[in-house]
Amino acid sequence: MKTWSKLRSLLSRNRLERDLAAELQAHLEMQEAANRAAGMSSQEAHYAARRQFGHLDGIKETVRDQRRWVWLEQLAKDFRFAARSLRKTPGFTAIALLTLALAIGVNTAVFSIVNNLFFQPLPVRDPENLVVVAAKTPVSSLLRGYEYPNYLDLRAQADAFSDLMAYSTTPIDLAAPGFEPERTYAAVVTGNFFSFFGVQAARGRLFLAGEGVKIGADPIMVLSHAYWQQHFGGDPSIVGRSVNVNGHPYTVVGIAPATFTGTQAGLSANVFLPVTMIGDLMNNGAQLLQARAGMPLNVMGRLKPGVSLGQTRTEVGAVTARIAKEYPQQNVGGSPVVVRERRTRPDPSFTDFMPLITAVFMGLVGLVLLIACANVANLMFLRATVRRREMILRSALGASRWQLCRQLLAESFLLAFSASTAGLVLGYWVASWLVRFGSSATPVALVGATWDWRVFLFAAAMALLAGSLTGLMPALQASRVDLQTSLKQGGGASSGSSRHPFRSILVVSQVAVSLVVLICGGVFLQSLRQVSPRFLGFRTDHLLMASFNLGLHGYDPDRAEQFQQRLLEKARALPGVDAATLGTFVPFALYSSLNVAAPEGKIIRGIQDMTVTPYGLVAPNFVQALGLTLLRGRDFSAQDKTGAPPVAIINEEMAAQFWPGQNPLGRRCYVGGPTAFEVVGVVRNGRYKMAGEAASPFILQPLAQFYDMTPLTLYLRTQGDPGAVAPELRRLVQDLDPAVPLYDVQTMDRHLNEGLLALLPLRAGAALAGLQGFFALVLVVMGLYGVVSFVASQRTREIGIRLALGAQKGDVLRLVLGDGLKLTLYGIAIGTVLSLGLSRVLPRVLYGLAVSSSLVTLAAVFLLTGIALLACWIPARRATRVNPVETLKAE
Amino acid sequence: MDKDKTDLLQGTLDMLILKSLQLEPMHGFGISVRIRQMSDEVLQVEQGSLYPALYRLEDQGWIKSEWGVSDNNRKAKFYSLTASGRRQLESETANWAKLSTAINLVLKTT
Repeated sequence: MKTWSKLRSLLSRNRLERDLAAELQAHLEMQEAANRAAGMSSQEAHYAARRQFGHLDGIKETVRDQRRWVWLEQLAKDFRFAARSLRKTPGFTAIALLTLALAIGVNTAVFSIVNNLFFQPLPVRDPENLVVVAAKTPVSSLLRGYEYPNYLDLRAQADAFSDLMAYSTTPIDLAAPGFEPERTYAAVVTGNFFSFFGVQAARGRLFLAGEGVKIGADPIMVLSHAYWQQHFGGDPSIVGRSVNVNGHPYTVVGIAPATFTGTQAGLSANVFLPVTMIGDLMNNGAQLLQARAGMPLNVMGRLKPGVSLGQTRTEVGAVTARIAKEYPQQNVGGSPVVVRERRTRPDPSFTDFMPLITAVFMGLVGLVLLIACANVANLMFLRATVRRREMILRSALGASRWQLCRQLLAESFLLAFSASTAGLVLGYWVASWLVRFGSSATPVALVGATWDWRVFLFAAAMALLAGSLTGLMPALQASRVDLQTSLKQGGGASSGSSRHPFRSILVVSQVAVSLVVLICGGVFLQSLRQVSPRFLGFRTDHLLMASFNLGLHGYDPDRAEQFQQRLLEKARALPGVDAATLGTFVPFALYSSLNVAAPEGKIIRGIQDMTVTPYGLVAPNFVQALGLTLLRGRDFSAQDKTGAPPVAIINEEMAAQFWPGQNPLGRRCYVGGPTAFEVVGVVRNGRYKMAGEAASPFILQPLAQFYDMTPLTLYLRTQGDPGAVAPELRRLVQDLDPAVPLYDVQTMDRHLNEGLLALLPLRAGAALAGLQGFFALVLVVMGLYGVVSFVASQRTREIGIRLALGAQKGDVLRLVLGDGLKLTLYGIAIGTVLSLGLSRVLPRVLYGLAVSSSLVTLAAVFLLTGIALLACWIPARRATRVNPVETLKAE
Repeated sequence: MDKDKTDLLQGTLDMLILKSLQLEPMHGFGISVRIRQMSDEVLQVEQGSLYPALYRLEDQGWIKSEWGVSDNNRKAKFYSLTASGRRQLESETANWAKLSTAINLVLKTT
């Protein structure tokens, strides 16, 4: 109530002023009347009253200043004034706003993802009791889970937990009548999975007690809500129906609730299957369930109330020690680790690294904010120096340093908070883009972004930080007005840039950084231009690729070969298809297959005597269909099959390594085993694992001679748009076996452009460096222009005198340009040194690309110098137009 | 006007104002006259201190104000004690009594 009335009085300030004036007036009149009553003449009475009363305005001011809300009013006034003065310089305001908004936007976007990943509790019953139980082994720095039998022992013997649960993730091929078969990721879970989390079915039922206990007994599945919507269109009739998992019939018993996305914040499971059915899902799956040193499952526990992490650790340690003693030959070992679930995201095995990785990532984006702040701070300096006269005037009128400071700080905080608001909008947009980036084909669907109070708090903190970073130094410096000398000198003269070392350092470092960024961008661009079919080793255009995995469907080699034969025949017959081939080899795939090879006759004592090489098992005509350049010999043909002499095609590099200076055709080499393969062809070198790799050996063998159940990729060389063939190809595979899904169906161009190991890093690098380079250049121009024009304006009088004494315009031009160029040259020198370090790192990314970084450096230096000259030229020209007569008169 | 004096008097001035309002609502001029009379012309309240003090006390909620008409038909702002103002006066009076007794004791001891 009181506060309310104060606020109201603040708002109706005028009324209060009138009140006070009337009251004081009344007092005066009463005093006057009293004086008259005491016998004074009316005039005497009037003056005596005034005298006794004292300074009327002084009293008013004291009353005004002691009101409790006065600081709020002053703050509002500061901000109103700041807004007005920012509006007066729309160019500056726009650039500063944009810079800060971008930086804050990126930071909030990343934070919203971090927030989702680390700060949100799992949407399950009592999430705070959940812990991850794992082992730290001497073998690997990643944490390890427990094998199924070990998990069972743990669950039976460890009393510290109210329950334990285990799960793993595996790819499956899922086919349902009436729906396209699809490769997707399934969580294989212990039977108590859903009851462990306290989750209820959205439709149908979840796993019942007793299900998922007996091995191979429960061919049932639960769909995640999202997958049910996405893949089955939310069709309720799917519950109770039979679907096909890797060729085995499973019954969909229910749908999990929409809120339940899986065990880990970062992991999205589409399908839940009992772990006891793993025999259907993996080769040797049934054996894996028995082995105590095989495939570890992730284990989660629910702490009993009042039990500490240390106690559970001791207990888990006791149980695992018992297991190790009982099964000494099947023991992996390791010390137990029990951590709260929230600390194990996104994957339990990364627990030890995640905080570090996150910190590094946040640090990197934080750096973006710092750079942006440095730039805006520089702009604020510029602005403050331009307004020096205003500061001096205000100071002369009695404004204290604190008041001047407050004024300037109000501007930077207003900027920062507006930018932060814009940054929130921008960040929301960036975050949703980032989240979409994680494709559904990966098991770790790159989380989500959560926008709750934490993000807004974060944005506010960013704004505070940005406000003080950009405002404090300029405000302190600008408000340091020495009235005595300033007024005497008529506007504050100083010479050179030495008076503002901070600004000069900023400009120099901007020049240096922008040079480095420009060189980076140049190197990336130059290397992108060099990426050609000749460089990659095969023709990338008009090429469609599609993968499938017969191994998941229990095909034996004969049936698989039949399938492949018919697929190739039918695919070749598709309209618009020139050639079709199959292979296990996919260039720049995330998991590339490697093998070891050695020439016949070489003494092999161990693996160190063999060459590690990318390799592929391929169908006939692979070389021709992919457009590899055959230098010698022949392509594989239908004759290279089981029973025929084992053959291989190698590349130049391997030929040079195995038989330097000799003709490799007809020579024999071992590949991954004791069989010797005869070299029948040599192809030109290409890139296999990464676009930026060093020249690497490469070997191809006929699929027909060496069949194994790994995933295969079909390649179609088309006449027109390769994407257009995809639907027909899918239909074709459906006809062959409706349970086998095609995945990663895409054009080679897209695979290259978006592949993490192909051109994506180069493209992203070029785009980022280009963008940053552009911004850096803009900032350099503004920074230099600011410094030079400021220094020139400070030296107006000096220039006037020089001109009056007979200096030529050219002398003046040189004088002013010199200031800016000096800073530029310092920056370029530092930048060049920095980029020398860079040129040691970059070749590792871009190996094999003949990028001459010295050429790029030269070009960047020229560009930067040119632009710097331009930025200094404008203020320098203006300085030459100084009219000596006027300048001297103005003194 | 004498700054030292005002500062020195601040706490006591508040108490004197509250005391003068104890019986009836009064305007600013009345308060200054009342304090002078009550103190046998010893204490002169400067207007420069009186009005800021009045506004401060009102801000604190110890007194409230209302426009009214004075004895000689003049429009004036009348101040009166609020309930919390009364309590404040009581506690300040008690404190003052304690303090002055203590000071007297000290001064009497030779």
